[in-house]
Amino acid sequence: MQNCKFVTNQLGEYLDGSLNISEASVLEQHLRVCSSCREKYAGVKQTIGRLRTLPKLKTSEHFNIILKARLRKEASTVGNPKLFITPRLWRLPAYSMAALLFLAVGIIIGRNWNSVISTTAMIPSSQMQAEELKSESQPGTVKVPEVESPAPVRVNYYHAVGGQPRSPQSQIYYQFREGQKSRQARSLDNRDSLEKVKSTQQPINQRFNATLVSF
Amino acid sequence: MPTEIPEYNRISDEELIRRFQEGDALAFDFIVNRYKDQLLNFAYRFVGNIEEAEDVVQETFLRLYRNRHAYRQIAKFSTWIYTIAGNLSKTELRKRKRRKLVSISDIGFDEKDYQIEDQHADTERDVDSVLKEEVIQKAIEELSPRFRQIIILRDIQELSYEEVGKILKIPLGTVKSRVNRARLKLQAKLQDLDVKKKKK
Repeated sequence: MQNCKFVTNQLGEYLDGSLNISEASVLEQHLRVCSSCREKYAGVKQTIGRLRTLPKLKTSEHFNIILKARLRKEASTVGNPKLFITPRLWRLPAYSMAALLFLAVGIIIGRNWNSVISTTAMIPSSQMQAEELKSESQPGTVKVPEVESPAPVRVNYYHAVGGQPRSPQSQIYYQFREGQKSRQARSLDNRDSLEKVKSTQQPINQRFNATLVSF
Repeated sequence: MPTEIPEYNRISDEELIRRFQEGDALAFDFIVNRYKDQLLNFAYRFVGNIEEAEDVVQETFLRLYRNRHAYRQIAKFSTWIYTIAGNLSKTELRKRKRRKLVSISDIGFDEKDYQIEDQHADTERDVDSVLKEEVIQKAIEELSPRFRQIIILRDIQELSYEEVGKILKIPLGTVKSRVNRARLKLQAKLQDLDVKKKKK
């Protein structure tokens, strides 16, 4: 059985005549006594013979003409400098231009973002405030405009539960803020406050319009 | 394309490709004429379809034309061109597999454009030999691509073990053992096909 395996492995080289003499003689001795290996040997030998005598094909009559035409096409495209840029490379400038444009738009939006937000948020309230002042301004009555102060925001920070200042320092600050509010209220009369609102409103509107124009 | 210029007929493949690399278009024509039929036989036995095989050969020469400067004189030209043709044949098989167009019944010699070289000058090839040939081709196609390629190179193209090793980029020992296994497999397949044919 060991020799059968040896014959199977070395059959190819033996048939090609490339097996060394000692191995070839071992193989031949085994072939004389083993009919199964002899059959295999005959079969492989016949197969090689059949393969080597297969008819040889020839290319079609038009093979060279077709090839010449394809080569001419190839040569003409090689001469065209546009084709040296592959499609992917060709797209690169377009992609970079798109990226730059996107970046530029992003920068413009980023620069104007705060003004856009503040304008859109403030205009309705300031207009409303102005209208309220106009409609309610009657002789003899004084309308005190609401002065925006950081105090209500800070209440959560330094006021105890129940709205009273928690520490002596915060009590002092609370009193100071209240005094400031009343001083501001006294110093403004009705007409002045209206003028102030208008004067603060105008630049914001102008700035908002300018932002729209830039888009 | 010229074929009867003695000077070009005598020079080696390597010299032809060198001249072609230097811009001699005639050298390319001689390379084509020297290899087109060899490559057609190789590709046809590989892909099993004559039209696809001719496309493979056309594409091989186009690749050669495009990449002529990639060839280095250290390698034998025949191994280089067979490597290109082998890779293209494998690609063709993969494409066909994708298209699911594999059909053994398509194999035939009914194409008028292709001339079969007559091995026996005085007699016409009879129907029986065509049938035998079909059986062999069918058996070759039943082999896996790596066994198919190696048996075509060794037993149909009759290249040396060394050349086969260089084309397939495998060591000599591997070439020998793979050729042996491919032959045994093919022999078994042919035996089966012969038995089936006799039963019919």
